[in-house]
Amino acid sequence: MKDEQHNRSDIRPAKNNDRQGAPEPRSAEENRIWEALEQARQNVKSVVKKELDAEIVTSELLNLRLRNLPR
Amino acid sequence: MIQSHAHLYPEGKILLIPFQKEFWREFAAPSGWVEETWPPIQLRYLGEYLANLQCRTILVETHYIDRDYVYDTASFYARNLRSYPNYCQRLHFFCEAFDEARWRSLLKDANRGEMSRSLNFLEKGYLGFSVVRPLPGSPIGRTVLPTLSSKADAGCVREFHSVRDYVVHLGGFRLSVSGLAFQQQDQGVSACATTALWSSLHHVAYKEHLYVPTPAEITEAAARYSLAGGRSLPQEGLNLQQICEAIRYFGLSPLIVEAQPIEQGIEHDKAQLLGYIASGFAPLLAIRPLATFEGMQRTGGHALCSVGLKMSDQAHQTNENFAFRDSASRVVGLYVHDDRLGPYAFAKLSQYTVKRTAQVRTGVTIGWPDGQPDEEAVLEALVVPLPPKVRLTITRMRALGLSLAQATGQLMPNLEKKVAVGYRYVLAPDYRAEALRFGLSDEGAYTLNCETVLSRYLGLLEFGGPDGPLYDVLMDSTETPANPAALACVCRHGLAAKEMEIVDSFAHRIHAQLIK
Repeated sequence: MKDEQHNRSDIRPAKNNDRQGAPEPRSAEENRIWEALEQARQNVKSVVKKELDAEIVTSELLNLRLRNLPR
Repeated sequence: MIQSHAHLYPEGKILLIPFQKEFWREFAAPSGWVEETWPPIQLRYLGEYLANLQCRTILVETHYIDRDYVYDTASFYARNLRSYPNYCQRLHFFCEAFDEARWRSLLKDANRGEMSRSLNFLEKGYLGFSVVRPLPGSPIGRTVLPTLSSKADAGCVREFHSVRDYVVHLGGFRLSVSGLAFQQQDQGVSACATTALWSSLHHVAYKEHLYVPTPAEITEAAARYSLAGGRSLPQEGLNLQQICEAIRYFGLSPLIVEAQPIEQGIEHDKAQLLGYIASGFAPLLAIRPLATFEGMQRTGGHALCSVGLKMSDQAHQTNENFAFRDSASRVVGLYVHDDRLGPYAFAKLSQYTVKRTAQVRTGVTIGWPDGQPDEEAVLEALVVPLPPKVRLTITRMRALGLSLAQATGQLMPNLEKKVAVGYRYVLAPDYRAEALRFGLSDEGAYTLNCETVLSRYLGLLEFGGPDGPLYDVLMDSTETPANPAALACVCRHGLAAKEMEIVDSFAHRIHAQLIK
Protein backbone atom coordinates (compact mmCIF):
# COMPACT_ATOMS: atom_id res chain seq x y z
CA MET A 1 0.00 0.00 0.00
CA LYS A 2 2.72 2.41 1.01
CA ASP A 3 4.72 1.77 -2.14
CA GLU A 4 1.73 2.58 -4.35
CA GLN A 5 1.26 5.85 -2.54
CA HIS A 6 4.93 6.64 -2.88
CA ASN A 7 4.66 6.44 -6.67
CA ARG A 8 1.62 8.67 -6.98
CA SER A 9 2.59 12.03 -8.43
CA ASP A 10 -0.17 13.91 -6.58
CA ILE A 11 1.43 13.25 -3.21
CA ARG A 12 4.90 14.51 -4.17
CA PRO A 13 6.06 17.63 -2.34
CA ALA A 14 4.55 20.77 -3.84
CA LYS A 15 7.99 22.25 -4.58
CA ASN A 16 8.77 19.47 -7.03
CA ASN A 17 5.54 19.77 -9.02
CA ASP A 18 7.01 22.28 -11.45
CA ARG A 19 9.77 19.79 -12.28
CA GLN A 20 7.39 17.24 -13.85
CA GLY A 21 7.09 16.76 -17.63
CA ALA A 22 8.86 18.48 -20.53
CA PRO A 23 9.78 22.02 -19.55
CA GLU A 24 8.47 25.07 -21.37
CA PRO A 25 10.29 28.41 -21.28
CA ARG A 26 8.63 30.85 -18.89
CA SER A 27 9.57 33.94 -20.87
CA ALA A 28 11.20 35.12 -24.09
CA GLU A 29 14.42 35.76 -22.18
CA GLU A 30 14.40 32.22 -20.86
CA ASN A 31 13.83 30.93 -24.37
CA ARG A 32 16.95 32.83 -25.48
CA ILE A 33 18.96 31.29 -22.65
CA TRP A 34 17.78 27.81 -23.54
CA GLU A 35 18.72 28.34 -27.16
CA ALA A 36 22.19 29.41 -26.04
CA LEU A 37 22.40 26.27 -23.90
CA GLU A 38 21.39 24.08 -26.82
CA GLN A 39 23.98 25.78 -29.02
CA ALA A 40 26.58 25.19 -26.30
CA ARG A 41 25.65 21.52 -26.28
CA GLN A 42 26.36 21.35 -30.01
CA ASN A 43 29.67 23.20 -29.52
CA VAL A 44 31.03 20.62 -27.08
CA LYS A 45 29.43 17.57 -28.71
CA SER A 46 32.60 16.30 -30.39
CA VAL A 47 34.54 16.47 -27.11
CA VAL A 48 31.86 14.51 -25.29
CA LYS A 49 31.60 11.93 -28.07
CA LYS A 50 35.32 11.28 -27.92
CA GLU A 51 35.15 10.72 -24.18
CA LEU A 52 32.08 8.47 -24.40
CA ASP A 53 33.98 6.36 -26.96
CA ALA A 54 36.81 6.01 -24.43
CA GLU A 55 34.45 4.14 -22.09
CA ILE A 56 33.83 1.45 -24.71
CA VAL A 57 36.60 -0.98 -23.98
CA THR A 58 38.24 -3.07 -26.69
CA SER A 59 39.26 -6.67 -26.08
CA GLU A 60 42.82 -5.69 -27.00
CA LEU A 61 42.88 -3.28 -24.08
CA LEU A 62 41.26 -5.81 -21.74
CA ASN A 63 44.03 -8.25 -22.57
CA LEU A 64 46.81 -5.74 -21.96
CA ARG A 65 48.99 -7.42 -19.39
CA LEU A 66 50.54 -5.30 -16.67
CA ARG A 67 53.69 -6.86 -15.35
CA ASN A 68 57.28 -6.08 -14.56
CA LEU A 69 59.07 -4.76 -17.55
CA PRO A 70 62.83 -4.55 -17.75
CA ARG A 71 64.11 -1.03 -17.09
CA MET B 1 68.09 -37.99 20.90
CA ILE B 2 66.15 -36.49 17.99
CA GLN B 3 66.53 -32.75 17.80
CA SER B 4 63.22 -30.91 17.90
CA HIS B 5 62.50 -28.61 14.96
CA ALA B 6 59.68 -26.92 16.81
CA HIS B 7 60.40 -23.25 17.27
CA LEU B 8 60.03 -21.45 20.54
CA TYR B 9 58.21 -18.15 20.80
CA PRO B 10 60.45 -15.52 19.27
CA GLU B 11 61.84 -12.69 21.34
CA GLY B 12 61.00 -9.09 20.61
CA LYS B 13 63.30 -6.11 21.02
CA ILE B 14 63.24 -2.41 20.33
CA LEU B 15 66.33 -0.99 18.66
CA LEU B 16 67.12 2.65 17.87
CA ILE B 17 69.19 3.59 14.83
CA PRO B 18 70.16 7.08 13.66
CA PHE B 19 68.74 7.66 10.16
CA GLN B 20 71.13 8.02 7.24
CA LYS B 21 70.16 8.97 3.70
CA GLU B 22 71.82 5.80 2.47
CA PHE B 23 69.02 3.93 4.17
CA TRP B 24 69.72 0.79 2.14
CA ARG B 25 72.92 0.25 4.12
CA GLU B 26 70.76 -0.93 7.05
CA PHE B 27 69.77 -3.97 4.95
CA ALA B 28 72.01 -6.95 4.41
CA ALA B 29 72.49 -7.93 0.77
CA PRO B 30 71.08 -11.40 0.05
CA SER B 31 73.69 -14.10 0.11
CA GLY B 32 74.11 -15.88 -3.19
CA TRP B 33 73.19 -14.88 -6.73
CA VAL B 34 70.29 -12.45 -7.13
CA GLU B 35 68.59 -11.70 -10.44
CA GLU B 36 67.82 -8.08 -9.55
CA THR B 37 70.39 -5.45 -8.68
CA TRP B 38 71.23 -4.73 -5.05
CA PRO B 39 70.27 -2.49 -3.33
CA PRO B 40 66.71 -2.45 -4.73
CA ILE B 41 65.66 0.91 -6.18
CA GLN B 42 62.80 1.07 -3.65
CA LEU B 43 65.29 1.14 -0.74
CA ARG B 44 67.26 3.96 -2.30
CA TYR B 45 64.05 5.89 -3.06
CA LEU B 46 62.78 5.47 0.52
CA GLY B 47 66.08 6.82 1.82
CA GLU B 48 65.67 9.95 -0.32
CA TYR B 49 62.02 10.38 0.57
CA LEU B 50 62.67 10.00 4.30
CA ALA B 51 65.54 12.48 4.06
CA ASN B 52 63.07 14.97 2.50
CA LEU B 53 60.79 14.40 5.49
CA GLN B 54 63.73 15.30 7.78
CA CYS B 55 63.86 11.80 9.30
CA ARG B 56 66.40 11.57 12.16
CA THR B 57 65.71 8.29 13.95
CA ILE B 58 64.55 4.77 13.11
CA LEU B 59 62.95 2.70 15.86
CA VAL B 60 62.95 -1.02 15.03
CA GLU B 61 60.41 -3.50 16.39
CA THR B 62 62.20 -6.77 15.76
CA HIS B 63 59.05 -8.90 15.90
CA TYR B 64 55.90 -7.77 14.14
CA ILE B 65 53.05 -9.84 12.71
CA ASP B 66 51.90 -8.17 9.53
CA ARG B 67 48.47 -9.18 8.23
CA ASP B 68 49.45 -8.89 4.58
CA TYR B 69 52.66 -10.84 4.94
CA VAL B 70 51.04 -13.61 7.00
CA TYR B 71 48.56 -14.19 4.16
CA ASP B 72 51.42 -14.14 1.65
CA THR B 73 53.19 -16.75 3.73
CA ALA B 74 50.09 -18.94 4.02
CA SER B 75 49.41 -18.74 0.28
CA PHE B 76 52.91 -19.10 -1.01
CA TYR B 77 56.01 -18.94 1.16
CA ALA B 78 54.97 -21.72 3.59
CA ARG B 79 55.55 -24.19 0.74
CA ASN B 80 59.09 -23.04 -0.04
CA LEU B 81 62.06 -25.23 0.75
CA ARG B 82 63.57 -22.39 2.74
CA SER B 83 61.80 -21.89 6.06
CA TYR B 84 60.58 -18.31 6.00
CA PRO B 85 59.38 -16.97 9.35
CA ASN B 86 55.78 -15.78 9.50
CA TYR B 87 56.74 -12.52 11.18
CA CYS B 88 58.40 -9.32 10.06
CA GLN B 89 60.19 -6.37 11.59
CA ARG B 90 58.65 -2.92 11.64
CA LEU B 91 60.57 0.32 11.30
CA HIS B 92 59.13 3.52 12.75
CA PHE B 93 60.50 6.81 11.47
CA PHE B 94 60.83 9.95 13.60
CA CYS B 95 61.98 13.45 12.79
CA GLU B 96 63.30 13.80 16.38
CA ALA B 97 66.74 12.47 17.30
CA PHE B 98 66.64 10.11 20.29
CA ASP B 99 68.38 6.99 21.52
CA GLU B 100 67.49 3.87 23.45
CA ALA B 101 67.99 5.59 26.82
CA ARG B 102 65.46 8.27 25.81
CA TRP B 103 63.01 5.61 24.59
CA ARG B 104 63.29 3.81 27.94
CA SER B 105 62.70 7.07 29.79
CA LEU B 106 59.59 7.78 27.68
CA LEU B 107 58.16 4.43 28.70
CA LYS B 108 59.23 4.97 32.30
CA ASP B 109 57.49 8.36 32.39
CA ALA B 110 54.32 6.85 30.92
CA ASN B 111 54.47 4.12 33.56
CA ARG B 112 54.65 6.80 36.26
CA GLY B 113 51.59 8.75 35.17
CA GLU B 114 53.20 11.00 32.56
CA MET B 115 51.68 9.31 29.54
CA SER B 116 50.65 12.56 27.84
CA ARG B 117 54.18 13.99 28.03
CA SER B 118 55.71 10.90 26.44
CA LEU B 119 52.94 10.68 23.88
CA ASN B 120 53.34 14.33 22.91
CA PHE B 121 57.02 13.79 22.20
CA LEU B 122 56.36 10.72 20.06
CA GLU B 123 53.36 12.18 18.22
CA LYS B 124 55.26 15.34 17.38
CA GLY B 125 58.13 13.46 15.85
CA TYR B 126 56.30 10.50 14.28
CA LEU B 127 56.54 10.22 10.51
CA GLY B 128 55.30 6.73 9.69
CA PHE B 129 56.32 3.11 9.44
CA SER B 130 57.59 0.44 7.10
CA VAL B 131 57.23 -3.31 7.54
CA VAL B 132 60.38 -5.24 6.65
CA ARG B 133 59.58 -8.70 5.34
CA PRO B 134 62.02 -11.59 5.80
CA LEU B 135 62.29 -11.84 2.00
CA PRO B 136 65.91 -11.17 1.09
CA GLY B 137 65.30 -9.66 -2.35
CA SER B 138 62.10 -7.70 -1.68
CA PRO B 139 62.09 -6.58 1.95
CA ILE B 140 59.77 -3.55 1.76
CA GLY B 141 56.31 -4.55 2.97
CA ARG B 142 53.40 -2.35 4.01
CA THR B 143 54.76 1.16 4.31
CA VAL B 144 52.78 4.22 5.29
CA LEU B 145 54.48 7.60 5.14
CA PRO B 146 53.03 11.09 5.10
CA THR B 147 52.70 13.01 1.85
CA LEU B 148 54.83 16.03 1.04
CA SER B 149 53.36 19.42 1.97
CA SER B 150 50.63 21.01 -0.15
CA LYS B 151 52.90 23.80 -1.36
CA ALA B 152 54.84 22.81 -4.47
CA ASP B 153 57.10 24.83 -6.73
CA ALA B 154 56.19 27.76 -9.04
CA GLY B 155 52.60 28.51 -8.07
CA CYS B 156 51.58 24.87 -7.95
CA VAL B 157 49.92 22.94 -5.16
CA ARG B 158 49.92 19.28 -4.23
CA GLU B 159 46.53 17.72 -3.53
CA PHE B 160 46.31 14.25 -2.02
CA HIS B 161 42.79 12.86 -2.18
CA SER B 162 43.38 9.17 -1.47
CA VAL B 163 45.00 9.25 1.94
CA ARG B 164 43.54 8.01 5.21
CA ASP B 165 44.59 7.67 8.83
CA TYR B 166 46.44 4.54 9.95
CA VAL B 167 46.57 3.84 13.68
CA VAL B 168 49.88 2.50 14.98
CA HIS B 169 50.39 0.78 18.36
CA LEU B 170 53.95 1.04 19.57
CA GLY B 171 54.84 -0.21 23.03
CA GLY B 172 51.57 0.96 24.62
CA PHE B 173 51.55 4.28 22.74
CA ARG B 174 48.86 4.95 20.16
CA LEU B 175 50.19 6.96 17.23
CA SER B 176 48.77 7.68 13.81
CA VAL B 177 49.93 8.57 10.33
CA SER B 178 47.98 9.91 7.40
CA GLY B 179 48.97 8.43 4.03
CA LEU B 180 48.31 5.55 1.68
CA ALA B 181 49.92 2.13 2.06
CA PHE B 182 52.71 1.26 -0.34
CA GLN B 183 54.74 -1.92 -0.76
CA GLN B 184 57.37 -3.39 -3.02
CA GLN B 185 56.15 -6.21 -5.23
CA ASP B 186 57.59 -9.53 -4.07
CA GLN B 187 57.07 -11.34 -7.42
CA GLY B 188 55.80 -14.31 -5.41
CA VAL B 189 52.19 -13.41 -4.72
CA SER B 190 52.20 -9.95 -6.26
CA ALA B 191 53.44 -8.07 -9.30
CA CYS B 192 52.86 -4.42 -10.13
CA ALA B 193 49.13 -4.72 -10.89
CA THR B 194 48.42 -6.54 -7.62
CA THR B 195 50.29 -4.04 -5.49
CA ALA B 196 48.77 -1.04 -7.30
CA LEU B 197 45.27 -2.45 -6.75
CA TRP B 198 46.12 -3.27 -3.14
CA SER B 199 47.10 0.37 -2.53
CA SER B 200 43.97 1.62 -4.27
CA LEU B 201 41.68 -0.65 -2.25
CA HIS B 202 43.40 0.50 0.94
CA HIS B 203 41.59 3.75 0.32
CA VAL B 204 38.44 2.96 -1.67
CA ALA B 205 37.38 -0.26 0.12
CA TYR B 206 38.18 1.29 3.51
CA LYS B 207 36.14 4.40 2.67
CA GLU B 208 33.22 2.20 1.60
CA HIS B 209 33.49 0.08 4.79
CA LEU B 210 34.38 -2.97 2.72
CA TYR B 211 36.98 -5.63 3.45
CA VAL B 212 40.52 -4.50 2.57
CA PRO B 213 42.18 -7.50 0.91
CA THR B 214 45.79 -8.63 1.15
CA PRO B 215 47.96 -8.98 -2.00
CA ALA B 216 47.56 -12.78 -1.90
CA GLU B 217 43.78 -12.46 -1.81
CA ILE B 218 43.82 -10.00 -4.72
CA THR B 219 45.90 -12.39 -6.83
CA GLU B 220 43.56 -15.29 -5.96
CA ALA B 221 40.48 -13.25 -6.84
CA ALA B 222 42.03 -12.03 -10.10
CA ALA B 223 42.96 -15.53 -11.23
CA ARG B 224 39.70 -17.29 -10.33
CA TYR B 225 38.40 -17.50 -13.91
CA SER B 226 41.18 -16.27 -16.14
CA LEU B 227 44.90 -16.93 -16.16
CA ALA B 228 46.64 -14.50 -18.47
CA GLY B 229 50.05 -16.10 -18.33
CA GLY B 230 49.28 -19.68 -17.35
CA ARG B 231 49.97 -19.84 -13.65
CA SER B 232 48.85 -17.39 -10.99
CA LEU B 233 51.73 -18.02 -8.56
CA PRO B 234 54.46 -16.93 -8.73
CA GLN B 235 52.73 -13.80 -9.89
CA GLU B 236 53.78 -12.62 -13.34
CA GLY B 237 51.31 -9.83 -13.95
CA LEU B 238 47.58 -9.33 -14.45
CA ASN B 239 45.66 -8.15 -17.48
CA LEU B 240 42.91 -5.53 -17.22
CA GLN B 241 40.21 -8.21 -17.32
CA GLN B 242 41.72 -9.88 -14.26
CA ILE B 243 42.06 -6.57 -12.45
CA CYS B 244 38.34 -5.96 -13.08
CA GLU B 245 37.52 -9.44 -11.79
CA ALA B 246 39.40 -8.77 -8.55
CA ILE B 247 37.71 -5.37 -8.11
CA ARG B 248 34.27 -6.96 -8.54
CA TYR B 249 35.16 -9.76 -6.11
CA PHE B 250 35.82 -7.23 -3.36
CA GLY B 251 32.46 -5.49 -3.80
CA LEU B 252 33.38 -2.60 -6.08
CA SER B 253 32.59 -1.90 -9.67
CA PRO B 254 35.48 -1.45 -12.16
CA LEU B 255 35.30 1.29 -14.75
CA ILE B 256 37.86 1.29 -17.54
CA VAL B 257 38.57 4.48 -19.44
CA GLU B 258 40.88 4.18 -22.43
CA ALA B 259 43.36 7.02 -22.95
CA GLN B 260 42.54 9.30 -25.88
CA PRO B 261 44.76 11.29 -28.25
CA ILE B 262 45.06 15.03 -27.59
CA GLU B 263 43.33 16.92 -30.39
CA GLN B 264 42.68 20.66 -30.74
CA GLY B 265 44.15 21.22 -27.30
CA ILE B 266 41.55 19.04 -25.56
CA GLU B 267 43.25 16.83 -23.02
CA HIS B 268 40.61 14.19 -22.35
CA ASP B 269 42.91 12.09 -20.20
CA LYS B 270 43.66 14.96 -17.83
CA ALA B 271 39.92 15.50 -17.37
CA GLN B 272 39.36 11.85 -16.46
CA LEU B 273 42.38 11.82 -14.14
CA LEU B 274 41.24 15.01 -12.42
CA GLY B 275 37.67 13.79 -11.94
CA TYR B 276 38.48 10.40 -10.47
CA ILE B 277 41.59 11.32 -8.47
CA ALA B 278 39.98 14.44 -6.96
CA SER B 279 37.08 12.21 -5.86
CA GLY B 280 39.45 9.92 -3.93
CA PHE B 281 38.85 6.81 -6.06
CA ALA B 282 42.60 6.18 -6.48
CA PRO B 283 42.43 4.93 -10.09
CA LEU B 284 44.98 2.46 -11.37
CA LEU B 285 46.94 3.76 -14.31
CA ALA B 286 48.00 1.39 -17.07
CA ILE B 287 51.10 2.84 -18.73
CA ARG B 288 53.53 1.60 -21.33
CA PRO B 289 57.19 2.63 -21.32
CA LEU B 290 58.21 4.51 -24.43
CA ALA B 291 60.54 1.70 -25.37
CA THR B 292 57.61 -0.67 -25.91
CA PHE B 293 55.01 1.91 -26.94
CA GLU B 294 56.32 2.51 -30.43
CA GLY B 295 55.76 -1.15 -31.35
CA MET B 296 52.62 -2.20 -33.22
CA GLN B 297 51.28 -4.57 -30.57
CA ARG B 298 50.26 -3.83 -27.02
CA THR B 299 52.92 -6.11 -25.63
CA GLY B 300 52.76 -5.26 -21.98
CA GLY B 301 52.55 -2.41 -19.54
CA HIS B 302 53.02 -1.34 -15.99
CA ALA B 303 50.49 -0.42 -13.30
CA LEU B 304 50.56 2.54 -10.92
CA CYS B 305 48.19 3.66 -8.19
CA SER B 306 47.35 7.36 -8.35
CA VAL B 307 47.17 9.15 -5.01
CA GLY B 308 47.20 12.86 -5.75
CA LEU B 309 47.49 15.73 -8.19
CA LYS B 310 49.89 18.56 -8.81
CA MET B 311 47.81 21.54 -9.86
CA SER B 312 48.73 24.97 -11.19
CA ASP B 313 46.86 27.87 -9.59
CA GLN B 314 44.79 28.85 -12.65
CA ALA B 315 42.94 27.04 -15.39
CA HIS B 316 43.62 28.27 -18.93
CA GLN B 317 41.72 28.17 -22.15
CA THR B 318 42.72 25.16 -24.23
CA ASN B 319 40.49 25.72 -27.27
CA GLU B 320 39.71 29.15 -28.72
CA ASN B 321 36.18 28.06 -29.71
CA PHE B 322 35.23 27.62 -26.09
CA ALA B 323 34.04 30.39 -23.79
CA PHE B 324 35.19 28.57 -20.66
CA ARG B 325 38.24 27.04 -19.04
CA ASP B 326 38.41 23.37 -18.18
CA SER B 327 39.82 22.69 -14.68
CA ALA B 328 41.72 19.80 -16.25
CA SER B 329 44.09 22.40 -17.72
CA ARG B 330 45.32 22.99 -14.15
CA VAL B 331 46.67 19.42 -13.89
CA VAL B 332 50.46 19.48 -14.18
CA GLY B 333 51.18 15.99 -12.90
CA LEU B 334 50.21 13.19 -10.58
CA TYR B 335 51.53 11.62 -7.41
CA VAL B 336 51.63 7.86 -7.77
CA HIS B 337 52.65 4.76 -5.88
CA ASP B 338 55.03 3.02 -8.26
CA ASP B 339 56.06 -0.28 -6.74
CA ARG B 340 59.22 -0.29 -8.85
CA LEU B 341 60.24 3.05 -7.37
CA GLY B 342 58.43 4.24 -4.24
CA PRO B 343 55.46 6.03 -2.68
CA TYR B 344 54.13 9.43 -3.86
CA ALA B 345 56.47 9.54 -6.84
CA PHE B 346 55.85 12.57 -9.03
CA ALA B 347 54.60 11.71 -12.52
CA LYS B 348 54.81 14.71 -14.81
CA LEU B 349 52.21 14.80 -17.59
CA SER B 350 53.24 16.02 -21.01
CA GLN B 351 52.31 15.64 -24.66
CA TYR B 352 54.06 12.84 -26.52
CA THR B 353 53.91 12.51 -30.32
CA VAL B 354 53.85 8.88 -31.39
CA LYS B 355 56.38 8.44 -34.18
CA ARG B 356 54.49 5.84 -36.22
CA THR B 357 51.05 7.53 -36.11
CA ALA B 358 51.87 11.21 -35.35
CA GLN B 359 49.11 11.05 -32.71
CA VAL B 360 49.65 13.20 -29.64
CA ARG B 361 49.22 11.15 -26.48
CA THR B 362 49.50 11.77 -22.74
CA GLY B 363 53.12 11.22 -21.73
CA VAL B 364 54.02 10.28 -18.15
CA THR B 365 57.50 10.91 -16.75
CA ILE B 366 57.99 9.40 -13.31
CA GLY B 367 60.68 10.99 -11.18
CA TRP B 368 62.70 10.66 -8.01
CA PRO B 369 62.06 12.91 -4.98
CA ASP B 370 64.90 15.22 -6.13
CA GLY B 371 63.23 15.63 -9.53
CA GLN B 372 65.54 13.36 -11.48
CA PRO B 373 63.45 11.53 -14.13
CA ASP B 374 63.31 7.77 -13.79
CA GLU B 375 61.22 6.53 -16.69
CA GLU B 376 59.11 7.87 -19.55
CA ALA B 377 55.87 6.20 -20.53
CA VAL B 378 52.54 6.76 -22.27
CA LEU B 379 49.17 6.49 -20.56
CA GLU B 380 47.05 3.62 -21.89
CA ALA B 381 44.04 3.49 -19.57
CA LEU B 382 42.56 4.16 -16.16
CA VAL B 383 40.87 1.46 -14.10
CA VAL B 384 38.67 3.00 -11.42
CA PRO B 385 37.28 0.91 -8.56
CA LEU B 386 33.92 2.63 -8.09
CA PRO B 387 31.26 1.99 -5.48
CA PRO B 388 28.61 -0.07 -7.36
CA LYS B 389 25.88 2.54 -7.10
CA VAL B 390 28.01 5.18 -8.79
CA ARG B 391 26.76 4.73 -12.36
CA LEU B 392 27.19 8.29 -13.58
CA THR B 393 30.67 8.62 -15.03
CA ILE B 394 32.90 11.67 -15.18
CA THR B 395 32.34 11.75 -18.95
CA ARG B 396 28.59 12.02 -18.51
CA MET B 397 29.03 14.68 -15.86
CA ARG B 398 31.23 16.56 -18.30
CA ALA B 399 28.61 16.27 -21.05
CA LEU B 400 26.32 18.50 -19.00
CA GLY B 401 29.14 20.46 -17.36
CA LEU B 402 30.84 21.54 -20.59
CA SER B 403 27.50 22.59 -22.14
CA LEU B 404 26.62 24.67 -19.09
CA ALA B 405 30.13 26.16 -18.93
CA GLN B 406 30.01 27.13 -22.61
CA ALA B 407 26.56 28.71 -22.22
CA THR B 408 27.63 30.46 -19.00
CA GLY B 409 30.69 31.94 -20.71
CA GLN B 410 28.58 33.20 -23.60
CA LEU B 411 25.67 34.53 -21.53
CA MET B 412 27.87 36.20 -18.91
CA PRO B 413 30.33 38.19 -21.08
CA ASN B 414 31.55 40.17 -18.06
CA LEU B 415 33.39 37.01 -16.97
CA GLU B 416 35.61 37.36 -20.08
CA LYS B 417 35.59 33.64 -20.84
CA LYS B 418 37.16 32.96 -17.46
CA VAL B 419 34.44 30.56 -16.33
CA ALA B 420 36.14 27.43 -15.02
CA VAL B 421 34.33 24.11 -14.75
CA GLY B 422 35.32 21.36 -12.31
CA TYR B 423 33.77 17.93 -11.81
CA ARG B 424 34.10 15.34 -9.10
CA TYR B 425 32.11 13.09 -6.80
CA VAL B 426 31.36 14.08 -3.26
CA LEU B 427 29.47 12.39 -0.45
CA ALA B 428 26.10 14.09 0.05
CA PRO B 429 26.57 14.62 3.82
CA ASP B 430 29.93 16.26 3.17
CA TYR B 431 28.43 18.58 0.56
CA ARG B 432 25.52 19.50 2.84
CA ALA B 433 27.91 20.33 5.68
CA GLU B 434 30.12 22.37 3.36
CA ALA B 435 27.10 24.21 1.90
CA LEU B 436 26.31 25.65 5.33
CA ARG B 437 29.36 27.85 4.78
CA PHE B 438 28.26 29.06 1.31
CA GLY B 439 26.24 32.00 2.63
CA LEU B 440 22.93 30.62 1.31
CA SER B 441 19.68 32.18 2.47
CA ASP B 442 18.09 30.49 5.48
CA GLU B 443 15.42 29.08 3.21
CA GLY B 444 18.00 27.83 0.70
CA ALA B 445 20.08 26.15 3.42
CA TYR B 446 16.95 24.51 4.83
CA THR B 447 15.79 23.32 1.39
CA LEU B 448 19.19 21.79 0.61
CA ASN B 449 19.69 20.18 3.99
CA CYS B 450 16.17 19.01 4.84
CA GLU B 451 13.97 18.93 1.74
CA THR B 452 16.21 17.84 -1.13
CA VAL B 453 16.71 14.10 -1.51
CA LEU B 454 20.28 13.37 -2.64
CA SER B 455 22.11 10.22 -3.71
CA ARG B 456 24.88 9.06 -1.34
CA TYR B 457 27.52 10.10 -3.85
CA LEU B 458 26.75 13.26 -5.76
CA GLY B 459 28.15 14.12 -9.14
CA LEU B 460 29.29 17.68 -8.47
CA LEU B 461 29.81 20.23 -11.24
CA GLU B 462 31.48 23.40 -9.96
CA PHE B 463 31.44 26.62 -11.97
CA GLY B 464 33.72 29.43 -10.92
CA GLY B 465 34.59 32.89 -12.19
CA PRO B 466 37.42 35.36 -11.51
CA ASP B 467 35.72 36.47 -8.25
CA GLY B 468 35.01 33.03 -6.85
CA PRO B 469 32.47 30.21 -7.17
CA LEU B 470 29.39 30.97 -9.33
CA TYR B 471 27.15 27.94 -8.92
CA ASP B 472 27.21 24.17 -8.40
CA VAL B 473 25.09 21.54 -10.12
CA LEU B 474 24.33 18.43 -8.10
CA MET B 475 23.77 15.24 -10.07
CA ASP B 476 22.31 11.90 -9.04
CA SER B 477 25.24 9.49 -9.39
CA THR B 478 22.95 6.42 -9.40
CA GLU B 479 21.27 7.38 -12.65
CA THR B 480 21.69 5.67 -16.02
CA PRO B 481 22.54 7.46 -19.30
CA ALA B 482 18.95 7.28 -20.54
CA ASN B 483 17.58 9.48 -17.76
CA PRO B 484 18.27 13.06 -16.69
CA ALA B 485 20.26 13.20 -13.48
CA ALA B 486 20.43 16.87 -12.39
CA LEU B 487 19.01 17.38 -8.91
CA ALA B 488 19.80 20.94 -7.91
CA CYS B 489 21.60 24.15 -8.89
CA VAL B 490 23.15 25.78 -5.85
CA CYS B 491 24.04 29.48 -6.19
CA ARG B 492 27.38 30.61 -4.79
CA HIS B 493 28.67 33.98 -3.66
CA GLY B 494 30.42 34.90 -6.93
CA LEU B 495 27.09 35.10 -8.76
CA ALA B 496 25.58 38.57 -9.30
CA ALA B 497 21.79 39.03 -9.01
CA LYS B 498 21.29 39.35 -12.77
CA GLU B 499 23.35 36.23 -13.40
CA MET B 500 21.19 34.35 -10.94
CA GLU B 501 18.30 34.66 -13.41
CA ILE B 502 20.41 32.85 -16.02
CA VAL B 503 21.19 30.06 -13.57
CA ASP B 504 17.49 29.90 -12.68
CA SER B 505 16.74 29.33 -16.37
CA PHE B 506 19.45 26.64 -16.60
CA ALA B 507 17.91 24.94 -13.56
CA HIS B 508 14.47 25.04 -15.15
CA ARG B 509 15.81 23.58 -18.40
CA ILE B 510 17.63 20.66 -16.73
CA HIS B 511 14.79 19.99 -14.24
CA ALA B 512 16.90 20.88 -11.25
CA GLN B 513 15.81 22.70 -8.14
CA LEU B 514 17.28 26.20 -7.74
CA ILE B 515 18.76 26.75 -4.29
CA LYS B 516 19.99 30.25 -3.43
